[in-house]
Amino acid sequence: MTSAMQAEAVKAPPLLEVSGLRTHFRTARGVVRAVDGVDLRVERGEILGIVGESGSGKSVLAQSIVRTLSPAQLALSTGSVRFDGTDLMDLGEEGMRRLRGSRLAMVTQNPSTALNPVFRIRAQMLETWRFHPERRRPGMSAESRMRQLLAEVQLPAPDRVARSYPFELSGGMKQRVAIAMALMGEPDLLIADEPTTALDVTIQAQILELIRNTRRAHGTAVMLITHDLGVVARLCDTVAVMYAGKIVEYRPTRALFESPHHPYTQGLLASNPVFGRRRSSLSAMPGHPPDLLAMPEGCAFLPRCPQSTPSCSREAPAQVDLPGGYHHRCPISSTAFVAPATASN
Amino acid sequence: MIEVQNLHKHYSVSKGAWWLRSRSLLRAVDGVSFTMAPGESVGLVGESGSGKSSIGMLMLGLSEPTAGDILFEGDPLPRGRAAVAALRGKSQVVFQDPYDALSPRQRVREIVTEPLRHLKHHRRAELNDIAVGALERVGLSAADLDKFPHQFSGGQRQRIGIARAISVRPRFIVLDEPVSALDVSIQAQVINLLMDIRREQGITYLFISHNLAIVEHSCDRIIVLYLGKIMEIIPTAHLHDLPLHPYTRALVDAIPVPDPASIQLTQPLSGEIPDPADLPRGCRFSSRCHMASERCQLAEPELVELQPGHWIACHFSTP
Repeated sequence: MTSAMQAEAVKAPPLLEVSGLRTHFRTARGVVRAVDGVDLRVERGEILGIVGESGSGKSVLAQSIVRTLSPAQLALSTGSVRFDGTDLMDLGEEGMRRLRGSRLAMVTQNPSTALNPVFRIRAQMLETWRFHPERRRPGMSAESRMRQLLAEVQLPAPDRVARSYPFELSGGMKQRVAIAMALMGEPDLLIADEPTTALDVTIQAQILELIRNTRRAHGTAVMLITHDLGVVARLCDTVAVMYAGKIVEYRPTRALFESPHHPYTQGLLASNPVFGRRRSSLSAMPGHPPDLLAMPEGCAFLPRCPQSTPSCSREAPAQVDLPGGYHHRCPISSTAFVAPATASN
Repeated sequence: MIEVQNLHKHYSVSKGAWWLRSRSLLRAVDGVSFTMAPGESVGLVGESGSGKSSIGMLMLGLSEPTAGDILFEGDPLPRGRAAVAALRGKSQVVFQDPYDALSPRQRVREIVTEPLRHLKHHRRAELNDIAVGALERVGLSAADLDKFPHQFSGGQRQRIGIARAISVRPRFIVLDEPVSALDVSIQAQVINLLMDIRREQGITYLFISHNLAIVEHSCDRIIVLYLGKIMEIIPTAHLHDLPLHPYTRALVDAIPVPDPASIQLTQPLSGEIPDPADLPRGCRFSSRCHMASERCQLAEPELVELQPGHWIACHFSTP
């Protein structure tokens, strides 16, 4: 990034700006604070990774942004989600419907849930253009745009795929179709929730390459939800690590991997087996993720934290702001914030 | 300890609409031979559809081979249901999904002692002591005996599954993707536990996984499968200093390295694993191999030992 581009980025408002987002659910056993005070932003063309374990709130965060949660279940839904200047929290259902599938698209872990089993791929892809006439490309028919996109996601024989029903395609092919479908509306932001978790590594590598190419070709910003630190390192510009509904560390990818600050981030990086760096035993993180219905007072990571002090149990640590709009939630960890070595690639 | 000789498992599958239906042969396991030394941990890797789990099921006597033999401590495994009886108390399995693998209606006590109760060697009081011992070994306690699986997290359930497997003091355990369904922070705990148990009890492991990084950490040797055939057998220690089979290379290159500063030049493997009922001619990897030449489509390469312990099935490795 040149300094001119950086100055530009400072001036323009971010594409997505989430602040103080809280999503709490009502359950039979009590209120679950699935997302509990999240601040983050996504610049145009940026790839942001959201990392966390099951129950950390990363998928609920995505669903809170696209507002696909049933209001009947919600005990609390506050904060602001500004998408290109508009607060989605104030936007009615009709306004959200116009946005979803056009400027804001989503790809899920299981592509079968995104595809209707009784319609051919062609009918499902063309639906986007029928619902979003404003996203049509002048001088291009829906049919040819569909064919172009199916070819772009490297599906062999796009015409045959267009005529197929979802059950006739493999998991990797369905995920490609789901991505092509999400791109029909030329979204500014693509939210991908574990898009490669159900796929083989070889197919995962192809899909990651596809996301990278999409950003390059269309300038699409991506919010990538994953539990795989390797995927984050390869693809994301920025990372937000979530634990028990809160972002515990939000920093540029390189800086986070070079000097992880939060003890949870440190533990995740240390316990992840890395190919080519065999050790006699892995440094496992003790304990298990907290029960969201029985959260401890103070820091949620406390029972597993090797660096805890008595003050950690008194109150939940506040967000500590870092330069550049980044933040973390551990006042105890003494890791220095090393500036990452300048990128050569 | 275990010798697998020219193992085949074929299924008959039907294809096409009912008025055009044809039957064809799906070769899930198509001539696989390897040996396992006592106390060795052997990794079995490959994409889905490569036949990894089929081999696991055959080695547990849970499915009957179409051809070939499995010698368990020198004795060939009998065919049919007798295989399960022959292996009772000797081999065990840990499954991928700790939610599906434990009966929700059984208490931990019943789950952990079930393999022992089938053996009928123990009195009730002994069963209790063994169950407590197994639970304590996996990091749980006697207080958990009367709980139900739903009272535990995913990682703890997998520990219960491991306690069940070690309760009979088996000599061989098939670990079928034992950590794939677990969170990253829990995976390392479970891998370390499995490795400690192996060291203490000298159990032989067949470690089935699609994740080469996990297999590298947990295994002495790695067997790479593709469409039911072995492409390569390689000692883990030599994974980084020997030239690899193009398929193994592609699997290695596809692993995203968790280091943003490293430059990863990946040429992702193109296409997907072909239909095992309709195999490519010649070398079965030739349709996706960037090195493939005419020869590869004509003849299937044999698995040959290039260096002691390193076996490879590729025309380019053998003159």
